[in-house]
Amino acid sequence: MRYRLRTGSFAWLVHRLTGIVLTLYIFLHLYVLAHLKDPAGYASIMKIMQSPLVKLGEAGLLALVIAHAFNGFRLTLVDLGMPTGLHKRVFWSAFAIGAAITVLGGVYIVGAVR
Amino acid sequence: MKEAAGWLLQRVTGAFLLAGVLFHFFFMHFTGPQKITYDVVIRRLSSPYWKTFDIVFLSLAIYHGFNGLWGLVLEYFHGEKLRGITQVLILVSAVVLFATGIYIVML
Repeated sequence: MRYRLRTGSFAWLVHRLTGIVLTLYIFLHLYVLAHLKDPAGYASIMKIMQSPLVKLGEAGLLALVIAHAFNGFRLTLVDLGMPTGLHKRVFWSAFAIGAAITVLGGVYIVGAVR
Repeated sequence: MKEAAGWLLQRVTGAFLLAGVLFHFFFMHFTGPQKITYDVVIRRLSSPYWKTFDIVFLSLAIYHGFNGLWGLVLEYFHGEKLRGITQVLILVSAVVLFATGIYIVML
């Protein structure tokens, strides 16, 4: 069986992939936070966390979070019986708002604006 | 019935996570490095309100994330053995992450 990649199936695929990555990311997140047990260990891990490459990754993480969260919200509307005629419009509205938050937040994270 | 409850719980936890993750990002990620120094973070974690928020937020994320992964397992893995192994992995991961979270907020 093959799927044609349309708006809905694309969103479905993105939702799965971002969901897997975000769940596994909890391990990394708590690993970093566990360094709070002593100031020196925290300082050393934060030095890595403040590097430009990691900051860029953090902005990418925001993109994944927003994509998953906004698509999940859209899916819930679909489940609640949103009329089929609105599906595409809601998808692109969620996409636009999500993209705006990602770009603005990403700019702050990377530190271009302070 | 059991599956309907799981489906509903995935939606409900998802709704709370949407609100929680926006709050979390605004407070923790869209702020300068001065907000995440050792002293600032430890002081914040000493507040019972933050402890509660962090643990509730983490619990919802663990449930939602691993319940989602379990859904994928049921969809793609058909072997009894493979399902059993992934189920154990998922449960152990959830417990380890939850325990780590408790350890961190109690620091």
